[in-house]
Amino acid sequence: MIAVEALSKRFGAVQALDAVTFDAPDGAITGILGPNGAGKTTLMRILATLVTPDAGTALVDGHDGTRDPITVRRRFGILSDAKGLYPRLTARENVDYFGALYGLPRAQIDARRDALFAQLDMGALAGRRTDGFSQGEKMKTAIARALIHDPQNVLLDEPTNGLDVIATRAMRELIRALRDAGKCVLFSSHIMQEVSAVCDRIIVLNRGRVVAAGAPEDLLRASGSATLEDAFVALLGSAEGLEA
Amino acid sequence: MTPLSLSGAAWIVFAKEIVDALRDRRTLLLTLFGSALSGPLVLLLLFKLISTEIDRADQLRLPVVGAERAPALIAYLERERVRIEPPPAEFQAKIRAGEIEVVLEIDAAFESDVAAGRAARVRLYYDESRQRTGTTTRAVRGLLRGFAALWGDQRLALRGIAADVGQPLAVETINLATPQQSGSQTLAILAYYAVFATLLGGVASAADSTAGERERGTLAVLLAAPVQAGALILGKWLAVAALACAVLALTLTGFYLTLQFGPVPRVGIPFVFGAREYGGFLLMLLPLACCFAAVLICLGALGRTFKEAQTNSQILITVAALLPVVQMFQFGKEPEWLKWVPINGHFLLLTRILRGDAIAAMDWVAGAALPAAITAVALLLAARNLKRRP
Repeated sequence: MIAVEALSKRFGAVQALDAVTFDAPDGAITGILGPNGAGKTTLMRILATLVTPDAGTALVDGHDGTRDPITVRRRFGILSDAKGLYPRLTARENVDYFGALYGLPRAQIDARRDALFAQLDMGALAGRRTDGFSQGEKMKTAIARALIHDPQNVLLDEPTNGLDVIATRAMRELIRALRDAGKCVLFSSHIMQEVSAVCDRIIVLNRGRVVAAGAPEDLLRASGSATLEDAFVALLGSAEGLEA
Repeated sequence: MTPLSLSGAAWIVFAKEIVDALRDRRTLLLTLFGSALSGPLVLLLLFKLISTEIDRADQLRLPVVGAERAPALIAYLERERVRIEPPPAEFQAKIRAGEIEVVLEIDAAFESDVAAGRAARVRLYYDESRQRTGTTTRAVRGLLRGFAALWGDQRLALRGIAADVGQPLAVETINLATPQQSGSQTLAILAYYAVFATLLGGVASAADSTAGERERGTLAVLLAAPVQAGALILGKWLAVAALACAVLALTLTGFYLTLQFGPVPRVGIPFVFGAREYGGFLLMLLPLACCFAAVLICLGALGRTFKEAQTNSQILITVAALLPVVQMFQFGKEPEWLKWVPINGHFLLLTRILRGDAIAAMDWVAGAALPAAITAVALLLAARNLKRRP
């Protein structure tokens, strides 16, 4: 469960986040939607304790990331846009490395990794080096890495970027499975269709501010629009940056 | 999930970085060739050069113009194992072209000068601009001087005068350099390559594990793990330092094997590179390897891209590799404070180890003090920068 309260961050002349407030409950998929430069990445980085906010708090299961970053990090699984892997390590070694860094004992790493690989249907990939992997295979490895420590909160930063249709579908199924397991899933994207396809609640971010929040139906009602696309355009004031 | 200690996390990072670096075969081979193989290779070339010099001094071939004019001199030279040859046509041009080294010409008036009691003339043609001819020319001059002295002694003896009258001053030369010392002069090159291997060993892995990590997009994931940035830097530094030390050890092993089993010339290398020297080199260069690994990690953490980090490292390597070269050309005695200076000091102390000098406790301190301080500063700076720019 994530509770963000009046979070602000400024980089030089740019106000990246301006008093952002929202909740992301357990057992739900919360989408952060906004055009490029809306502040999504800054928000994700503050939540991941990579960036310190100027003002406001971000509580993760009641823990403050600025005071106790190590505890907060352990409660997060992060799947970032870059999906960077170590190309000379096998899929298994990539995942195990992070299992060890999260402080899991050896036996638990083995059990958890095997379960994840079975769930993601990547048993054949386990012993191969990742430098020859397709985008979908890389994504699966990165997912297994993000979930190796069974985190209560999962951050997905543009997770379907560069994925083909099949991989995107598999990704959505996995996100729903996480929600059904009672996890708090935070899903950031600039692609409206992505967010509307999986999210229970949507936070619309524009120029560092929350311009709307609620279930898709709530957003339709609030904007008085007939379709979600019209609703987003109305909320943002322009269609710029919404398309893939 | 139990929280990891700083050292626990550092060891996990260390193990991963070592595996990662060892799998980078191409870089590994390049590094090994650049240091571990090229050092012994240069040494072998040097040995060949020395052997050739010795052979030439042993088997002197001397073209002589007008050999028939001075049979006594020719007989003397042949007794001294010089092979007298007829002079080639246009020998002066051939000397300039470097085809032959030296030609002796016996003056046309040699016999008449001798008969008249005048000093008889011989001419030695050579090209001083050619370094290689130095040994031969010196040898021929020495032989001619020897013949002149013998001839003079005989003339004095004929007149009933002791030979000592003509030679009031007897010069004896005593070379105080121990055999080990004269050998180690040539082998400053050994010290140089040892320092160079220390520098080269960690370059690739340092850039790969810092700036490379940022470029691949793994750094943000790594920084989001519940581990302090200090532990990450510590693990990466230990891995780079270990690799640098391994490359150094291999390079020294290469030297050891070359000197034990290689075609070492019969004379000229009367020094040892045994267990004492091997151990001394390793111990002396260990702080330098750790220091250099830390500086490389720091440059990598500061660099935005792999390319930028690599360029910065290359500049550092180039400057560092030039420092001992400057020292090699400086013929005066090095000041004592130089041993406190990283790289130059290490080079100086390594040549002392080779010369067989005793290394005092303070010398070991000198080799480690500044590198240790630089290591600490570089690691702190690297940890701060890694955190700041995910």
